[in-house]
Formats: sequence, C-alpha cells, structure tokens
Amino acid sequence: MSTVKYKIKSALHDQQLYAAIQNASNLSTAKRDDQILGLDDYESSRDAAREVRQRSVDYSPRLIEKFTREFTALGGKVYIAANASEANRITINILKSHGAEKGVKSKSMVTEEIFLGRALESAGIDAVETDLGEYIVQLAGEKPSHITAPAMHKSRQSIGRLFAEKLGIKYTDDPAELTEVARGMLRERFLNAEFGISGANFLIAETGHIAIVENEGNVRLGLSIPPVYIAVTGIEKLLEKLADLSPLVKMLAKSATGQKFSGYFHLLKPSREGEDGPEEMHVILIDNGRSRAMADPEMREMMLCIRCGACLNECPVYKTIGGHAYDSTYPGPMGSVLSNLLGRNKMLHQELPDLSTLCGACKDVCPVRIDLPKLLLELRARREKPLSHNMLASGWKWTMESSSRVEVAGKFARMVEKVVPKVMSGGVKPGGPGSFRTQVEKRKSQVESPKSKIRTDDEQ
Amino acid sequence: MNNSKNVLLFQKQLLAVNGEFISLDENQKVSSLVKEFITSNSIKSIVLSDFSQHQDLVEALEEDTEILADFGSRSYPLDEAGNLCAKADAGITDVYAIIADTGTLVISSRNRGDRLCSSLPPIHLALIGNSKVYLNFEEFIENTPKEHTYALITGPSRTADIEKKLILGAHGPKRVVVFYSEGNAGCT
Repeated sequence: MSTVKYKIKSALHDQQLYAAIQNASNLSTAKRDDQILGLDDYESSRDAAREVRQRSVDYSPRLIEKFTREFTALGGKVYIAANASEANRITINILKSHGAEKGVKSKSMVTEEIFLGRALESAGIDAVETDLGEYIVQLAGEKPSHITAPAMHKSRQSIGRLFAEKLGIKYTDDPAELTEVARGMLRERFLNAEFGISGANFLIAETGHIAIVENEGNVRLGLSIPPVYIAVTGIEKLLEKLADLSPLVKMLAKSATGQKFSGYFHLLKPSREGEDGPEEMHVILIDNGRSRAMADPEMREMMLCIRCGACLNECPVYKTIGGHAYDSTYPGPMGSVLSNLLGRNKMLHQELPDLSTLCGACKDVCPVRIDLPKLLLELRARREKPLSHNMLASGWKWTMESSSRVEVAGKFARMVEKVVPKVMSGGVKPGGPGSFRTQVEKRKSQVESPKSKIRTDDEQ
Repeated sequence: MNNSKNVLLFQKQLLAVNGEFISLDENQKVSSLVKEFITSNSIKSIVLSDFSQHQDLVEALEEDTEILADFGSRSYPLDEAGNLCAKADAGITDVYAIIADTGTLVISSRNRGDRLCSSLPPIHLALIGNSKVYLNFEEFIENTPKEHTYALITGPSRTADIEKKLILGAHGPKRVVVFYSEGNAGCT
C-alpha cells in the first residue's frame, strides 16, 4: 500500500480527526460565504484579481529584475535559489555570518516546502515558529495540515495535552488560556531574537516593497525587534505595481479567513537613513520548479494561486481525510496540482490528482478562478505519458474490443509485468488486484462479443 | 471626500473587529480623556512614540503614570526599547491615516517608537485627529508616498488557530483604543 493510501485509510478511521476537520472547515466556509455574499461585485473582483496575477506571472522575470534593483538600491539583498537545498544554504549562510543562533519564524508555506526548519535545526540554529498553529505543530513534531490553519486537525484537548507535556504547564483545554501560554513563552523569544524569518504574500517590483498579511502580530514583532530579517517566498509572487495590491487584498482575507481585512498588513522595505528597522533585510526567491511550471502552457495557471486555502475548506475529499493524508506540504485541490509541479522532478505526488471528485467546488471558490478540475484531469492524463500512457490507453481500448486480442494481451501483459514493474499507477503489484494483467484476465471472462466495448478510465 | 461620514464608517468597522472608539467633543482635550482612560483602566506604566510636537500631552500624562520610554525625547538601543515596551501596560502612538471601510489604522513603520509602542504593550492607544482619512485600501494605496513603510492594523491582534475559536491578543495588543478629535491637532 502506498503511503498516501495508508494515510487515507488511517484518517478514515480517526473519528477525532474527522470531527476537527469538519468543524473547522464548516466554520471557515460559513465565514467566507458571509463576506463574499456581501460583495455585490464578487465576479468582477475575481476577474480583476486574476488579471493582476496573470500579469504577474507573464512578466515574472522582468519584475524580479526590477524588484531586485529597487530593493538593493535601499541596501537590501535579493537571492534567487534554484531549489530547496540552495535556499536553505543561503539562509544558513546569512545567519552564520552573523553568528546568529536563536531567532523567530512566522508561518510560511514556502519554508515548509523546502523543509527550512529541519535544515536550520541540523545547522544548530534554533528558529521557533511563532504563529500559534505553527507553534503547536512544531511542538508536536508534525507538519501543518492546512495552508492557512496549520493545526486544524487538532482538538483543543489534544493541544492541551501537548502543552502540558512539552511546556510543563498544568493541563487546560481552554483556547484563551492556551493562547496566553504561547504568548508568554514566545514573548521571551521575540525579545531575544537574533533574526526573524517570514514568508511574503507579494513583492512589489515598482517600489521594492514586501507585502505580508497576518493576524497574530507575530510577523510585526519579528520584523520590528531582531537585527536581521529574511523573507522567503516563491518567484511567482512579484507584482508589477503597488496598485496591483488592491484587487488581491480585497479577495485574500475574505477567501482565506472570512475576514473583511486581515488584522495586520505590512508594507515594508529596507530602512533609509534616519529610519528604524532591521539592520539587514534579505529576500530569498525560490524557483524549485516554478519557472518550469510557468513555461508549461497547461500548468502555468497554477502559478496564479495566492494561497488562501478556500479550495481546501470546500473540498469534500479534503474535508473527509484532512491535510496530512496527502503526504505533501500542500494538500487539498491546490496541493494536488502544485505538489506535482514543484521539486527537482515533476510528478512526485502522482496519486494526488485522484483525490478529487471533480465536483468543481474548488474552482467555484477560487478568488483568481483557477480551473483546478481541469488541471487535475490534465495531471491524471500526463501521469501515464512517461510510460507511453497514450499508447497504453488506446491499446487498452483496442484490445478490449476483441476477445482474440484480449487473449494475446494476457500473454503480453504477463511478460510486460516481469520487465516493467508498476506499469500502471504506482504501487500496483504485478498480477495483484488492479494490475494490467488481472484486469485483462477479468476482461477475458467478460468479453461476450467482439463488438462489446469497454470504456477506459479516462473516458469515464 | 466626506471626512465625517468616513469617520463614522471607520468607527462602525473598528467596533466590528473588536476595537474601541472614543470620540471627543469640541470642549474636551485629548490629554484629559487619555488620562481619564488610563486612571479608569488602572494603567500604571506607558510608553510613548514620538510626541515631541505635543509636549503638553507628555507633561499631562506624567502626572498619573510612569512613562517607561518616550521615543520623542530620545532614542533607545533596540534591546532596551523592546524590554521597556514589553513591560508597559499601554503604548500610545500617533496614526498616519485611517481606512474607513475596514476600520484600519495606518501606522508608520519608520520609527522604532511607532513599531514597538503599537505592538508590544497589551493595550494600544491610538490618537487620530490630524490623520489622513481614506475610504478604502485602494484610495490609500493610490494616494500614499511610495517610499514609505507602513503597518495597517485592523483591531486587536487575533488568532483562531485552536478549533477556529477567536481569541484576542495573540502576540500583539489585546485592546486597540482609538481617540478621535475632529479638526483638532490630535494631541492638544
């Protein structure tokens, strides 16, 4: 059984998990709907947001160049990392050059994508997660299960037990008390932090601004107190101009948390003479497969994503199995696509496009109108291509139309499976249920007339 | 632009995000209202961002509370500034602009005082009066100097990371109290 299948199976048996996910996603969708229904120009706002993101991706290289010019003119530094290990190396080098050992980190999915936390830890650098949800999953030694609500899979009781065990406090499952405990613990860390690391929602090419959205105030403390500040984000996050923020800001908080506006919105850049701010500001832009995705006419659309997480909350599959079952940094509909575009090799998470009923809810709530069902279908089709999917698929159809062909194919299949294991989708054992040979054998007994026709998976 | 209409909208939106709004009439002084608030809320110590233009406010406040840091009077090394602001019961800042339809305060990020007084103490007292007034984010972004850095603050800091239950005061202030004086220099 593949890891994903195993994780789905255990998620389906976890009542506490199911209750937590249902509760959180239902509350999220209700809050989102309240905000969206109050907008009389929802559809045109989506169009405007999409137009900005489209332009951002279309002109990405030029915008990176312009941003770098503006940001470095103010004394900041910009790096482009081709992949995860390069990004981690750059971050560690910056911190080592200051002898920095203890610092604070704000929630950032890009840093999860590159496993920055683990890399810092093995370099002997202590970076505590300060977003409450991230703090919880870091204490538990887990990964976030949702891109905007990292600890969504946990009940208040399990968080209470975790805090009692790891922080040595008296057990409480009151969310207000637990929040207060985290606030107290992390205050000390903020005041003594040698560095601050965060993600960035957008970077403005025109002015050199970094734009960050948050609610807890931890980003604000992380960029106000430590002397060294590092923002880590993807190369697709550049916007052409400051005014481009408007349509995105209008959609982001409503779609993500059902708020009209986020608690904090930061527009920052390196301080000029006579101004306060971190002594050093660094921006690390990560490619990690993004430029390849941008050059892919069908997959390019995924780069418009603004990581609001609305598609996760709406997805019937996500709401049943939760984020961890996807076994990827990015879960849910957006994750099932994005995970297969990032990293050194494409299609590292081949099973994920199947974790969708193609109901289209994700597409309906996407603030930038990404056609996720279309992308999921395209990935399903592509999955087989490296193994001559098209030949297999059409061959399959052709074979199944005739009983004599089925006969021959049976022999052929037994041969193929010895030579090419896992010729069908990952994890299928030769001759096991679902394997090509078994299906051919099964079909053999079903074929009644040479004219009968079996539809392939792709046609269904 | 109709300012008083926008201020009313700001007030409504600020209250909707758990902020507090205290309005002054013509005869009241901001300093006396702030003093009243400080006394009734048992605030023992405060930190001030740069109010060097409004020395009378500083002097008035000195009578009732301990001023741990006054960023208008001198500069503080970063660690000292952080520690003082973390100890204070309340921080008082000016406000660069307000955004009406979201109840948002625009605070400059250019000064340490503005940054820390509005983020470390459990109560943030924000004085608006001579602040710019914008209807929405779009209007703000179109009219604002492109070289500046800002924090847009909408209500007290918050989290809903535990079972989606809203808790105020995650890492920043638990209360944001806005003092508004129409047409006043804000701090006289």
